[in-house]
Amino acid sequence: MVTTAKQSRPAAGGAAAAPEGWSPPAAGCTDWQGPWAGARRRGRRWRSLLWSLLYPPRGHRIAPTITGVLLIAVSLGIGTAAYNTANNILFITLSLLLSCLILSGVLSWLNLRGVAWRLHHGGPWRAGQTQTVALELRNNKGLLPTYGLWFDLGSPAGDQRRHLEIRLDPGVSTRLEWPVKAERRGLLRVRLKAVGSLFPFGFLRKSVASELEAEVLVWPASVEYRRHAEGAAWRLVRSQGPVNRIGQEGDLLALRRYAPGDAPRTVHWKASARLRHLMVRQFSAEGLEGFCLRIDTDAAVWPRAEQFELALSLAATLAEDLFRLERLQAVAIDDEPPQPVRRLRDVEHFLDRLARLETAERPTGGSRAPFAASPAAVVRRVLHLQPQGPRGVAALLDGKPAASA
Amino acid sequence: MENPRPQLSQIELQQLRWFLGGLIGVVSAWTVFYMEVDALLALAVITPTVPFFTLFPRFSRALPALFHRLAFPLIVTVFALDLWGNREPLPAMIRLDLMLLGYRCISPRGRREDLQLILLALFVVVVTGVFTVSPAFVVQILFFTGAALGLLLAVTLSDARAGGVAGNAAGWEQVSWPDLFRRLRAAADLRVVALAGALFCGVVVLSALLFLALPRFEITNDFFIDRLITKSSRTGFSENILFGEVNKIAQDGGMAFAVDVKDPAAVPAELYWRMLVLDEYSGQGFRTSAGLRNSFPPARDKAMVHGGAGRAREDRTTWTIYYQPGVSRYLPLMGGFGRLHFGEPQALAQSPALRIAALPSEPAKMVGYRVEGMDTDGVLRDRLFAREHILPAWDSPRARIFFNHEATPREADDAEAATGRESEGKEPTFLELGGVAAGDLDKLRAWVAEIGGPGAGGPDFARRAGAWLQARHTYSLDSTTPAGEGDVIVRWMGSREPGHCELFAGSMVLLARSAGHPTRLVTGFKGGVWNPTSGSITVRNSDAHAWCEIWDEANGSWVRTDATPGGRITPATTAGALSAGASRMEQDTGWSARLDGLRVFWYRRIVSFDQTSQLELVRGTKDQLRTMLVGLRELLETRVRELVEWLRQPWDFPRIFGSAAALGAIVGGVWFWRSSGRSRWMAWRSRRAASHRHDPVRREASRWLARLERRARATGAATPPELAGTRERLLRLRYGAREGWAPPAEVFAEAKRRLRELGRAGRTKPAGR
Repeated sequence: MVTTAKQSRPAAGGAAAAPEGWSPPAAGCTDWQGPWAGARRRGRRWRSLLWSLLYPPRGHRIAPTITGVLLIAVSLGIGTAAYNTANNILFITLSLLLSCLILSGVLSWLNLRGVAWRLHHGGPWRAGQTQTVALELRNNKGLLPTYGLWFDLGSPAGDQRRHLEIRLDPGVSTRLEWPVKAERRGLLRVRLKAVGSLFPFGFLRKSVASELEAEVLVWPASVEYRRHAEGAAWRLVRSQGPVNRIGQEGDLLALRRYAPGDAPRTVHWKASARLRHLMVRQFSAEGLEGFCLRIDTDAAVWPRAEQFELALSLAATLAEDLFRLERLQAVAIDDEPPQPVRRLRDVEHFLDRLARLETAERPTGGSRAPFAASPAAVVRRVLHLQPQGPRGVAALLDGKPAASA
Repeated sequence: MENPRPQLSQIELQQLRWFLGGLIGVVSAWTVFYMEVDALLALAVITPTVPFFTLFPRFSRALPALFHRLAFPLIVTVFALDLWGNREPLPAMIRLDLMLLGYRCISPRGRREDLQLILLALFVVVVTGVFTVSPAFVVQILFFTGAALGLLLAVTLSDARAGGVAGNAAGWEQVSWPDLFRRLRAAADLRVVALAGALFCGVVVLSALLFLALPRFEITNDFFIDRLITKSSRTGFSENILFGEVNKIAQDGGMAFAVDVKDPAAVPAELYWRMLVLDEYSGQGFRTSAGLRNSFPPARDKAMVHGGAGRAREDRTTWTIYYQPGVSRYLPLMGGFGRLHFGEPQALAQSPALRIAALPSEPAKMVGYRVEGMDTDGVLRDRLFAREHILPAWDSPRARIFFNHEATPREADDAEAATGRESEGKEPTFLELGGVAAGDLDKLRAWVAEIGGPGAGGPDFARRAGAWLQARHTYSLDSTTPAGEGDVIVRWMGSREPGHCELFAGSMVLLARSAGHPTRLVTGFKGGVWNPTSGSITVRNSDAHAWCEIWDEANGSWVRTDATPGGRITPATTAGALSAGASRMEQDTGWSARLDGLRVFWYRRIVSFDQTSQLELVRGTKDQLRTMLVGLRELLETRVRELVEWLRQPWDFPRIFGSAAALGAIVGGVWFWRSSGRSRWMAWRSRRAASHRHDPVRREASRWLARLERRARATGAATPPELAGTRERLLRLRYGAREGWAPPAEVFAEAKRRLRELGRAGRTKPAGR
């Protein structure tokens, strides 16, 4: 699985900057973002601060709440009475109310200042499964804690809001988590849409628009499939388990670590004694009993989109299962040469490709190079995915169905 | 990383809300004590109930649902009955507010109910402040503001703690207040608390600035609220006074009014503040006769400035009087006045002949007014009475024309004759002894003869009669009148009992009238003390006094006569006595004087602040700034002049040597600072820095990194390889361990050099194209 984190532009109202204790973005998380997060430019600080108080940066919104509307209405009433009566007691009350409104704005600004956040989206993601997106929050202020923020996360599944229920002391970080279900494979965008707060008195609803966005690649969903004995693809696995014969022919290629099921006769005792763990001999014939998984994206083959999605899911599931059984030798899409699969990363790469795969129109009448002519001729057994009936998909081995979904 | 301090749970925040709500409710309800509104029953219920429910919130849950269902209809019914029964809207509304406040304080509250409580409390506090205009309002509103902001903060935090859902956590009623406050103490960072205190002070300062800066313009200026409540005056200053009522007022030590004098040197030695003139003797006291009442016209239309019978003279001192509520509707004045200014439009009834003025009703709040051209000599000229020895009815054409200074008395007579109206039967009774029995009249005549007869005139008789009274009686607030038949005053005069001012003044009236001198009784205040804290005169209710005015035929004027021991019987006419100055007054020091001073400051600077004050403030600030700038400029010019003179002096060897040494020392100092002093200073501070953030070396390195980056971006020059080394060294200074640092001064110097090179590269780039 591959996840990409992108930050389309700096945070509205302030440069995205690394806070104290900065660490570079790891895989599966975005860069830090936040209003005035760690930005310290002595010369421009006060000027920009005053300007931002007078003219809030783009994306910053301040709207009165019901309490705020009430306060404004009371202020207007008292102001009207004060001007109507020239009574200084009412002018004092009006001044205090206006000061409280200003104090509310200043405290709200202080509350958001110095707070930085970044998204963790983790992995792997698979269609149909619920994953967790976490927001790491950090208060970089020197003295003041932060209270009562909320974060709106947007995803194709809908918008969700999480509240910072605790007090975030200076220098402290915390995590907020959202469960997100990926409905389908492909690129999924998770976006932190806004950060807001009613702090301190609930007069004003201050929100800061955020464009912090993470793109997550979602693999095809896992499917239940049926194995067919007549296809002989599973015979070795089922009937003989981890075979003790397979691969014990041909030239000695290398030594490898012992795996459960390896024949005791293949153990290389000298190397095992030297390395203090069991090592076995690997012969050139060992891979010959593996499979190559191949899927065709020809739109003519897959006239129905849901059938194609099912094929991709079956391909992904088979790839994982075969790799787990160490029987996946190569994968191929369309007519491309089979890509050998040697490690987990190769399987993930294949799943990444499956996540983005779409059907394509092929020119009719053209001659297609035979698959067997590919350089990976070592692959003797090809699992080829084909439609089965109007809805199903089958993995054919030597023309016989080995699995179907 | 975990928060280092514990956090209050939602339940604890809910308990804090409950506590603050109860506190706001009780304190705001208690402000009604300052008002003269009959809400004792509501207060008697609230005062024990709300603290009880606040301390034991579980009982609020125990209230039956029926109570909550019936509470609001019941409260509204009581309000309707109250309004219908008393017909006073504002007191009824205040009582309604108190009932609602009490109910809100004892019933479980959510966010909405907390807001209602705050609004109800705000209403009470503001209305009380508007009514009382008391300096205590500042304390009340500041306390209310702090508590209300605390409550709103607790509400916001509580809702956030519940994930943005408003609602009460279950089980919050089980509260242990000591534990809660211990938790609160543990959860609070003292530095943050101090900062919150500073922010609150900032709010107060900001409010003060806003108060001064809010533009003042008047829309309609109709003070509606004082019509919603009615008050009764003190009986001692009403149109019907029984003996002893002025004396009762004198038992009260509260402030009656404060006086700001523009020129304290012009304060006379004797201060007599006239409020009421009474002419008719009833045997039990004095009252205003129908004739005298007729001379008092109805209140004129509302205006900020009212003209008086006195002549406004530019050089006269102005007197600003802050008149407390609850004294009388009659304004204290020393005599006639030229103009009388109010802070807001005000209806005023005034009798130019009597030199008294009154508001339409007793003010419910402090009234401030400025008097210009006030007569302070105790002699009131009366041309009409001088001509007729009789005052016409006010509604006669003669009086109207005369008092408006539209014509001479003769012309007024002609006008009255033309209308055919008579003023008989409506005359003041300055000579009548209606309430005195025949036997007592004989006694009076005998005493007049003993005094020496009517004499040369009113003042002469007054001096002799006053001396005679003072010789027979001493002054005492606890006076007794001998029992027996006949008139009270005559019985007292016949005895040797001590007496209070009303007895002395009443005796003088009876004696003078028996001798044929028109005389009238005057009530008001005598004296006052100088408050050095506020620089004003404080007149207390204990200064309430009664005296009389006797007709002086020779000068055609009423002359003040005070027979009460302790003062002059007739006013002094020397220049020294007329302008003795405030410094010769009795000084009022002590805490009560300071509180009075605070109150006067409040009236002077806050309550009386208006558009004129605002303009004066702006003008004053401008003048002060200008003075400062002029002073600064003069200082600079002086210094430059001195320098030039110094330079022009002959340059001998010692001067040259001294100057060179001084210049060298300065240059050397600068060089030393720039070369190593600054870096040493920085290194010393760096070693003592508490954290990386406060380390000056790291901060300086951060600045140089930013400069290099900006310059490189601006010039677009290719980054030379040696810059990478500089950058690396700066990064090491910024983030690395101290042990791995290159000498900071060298690194910064290198960075400076690189910066210049980058700048040069940027400038030469276009030329090379």
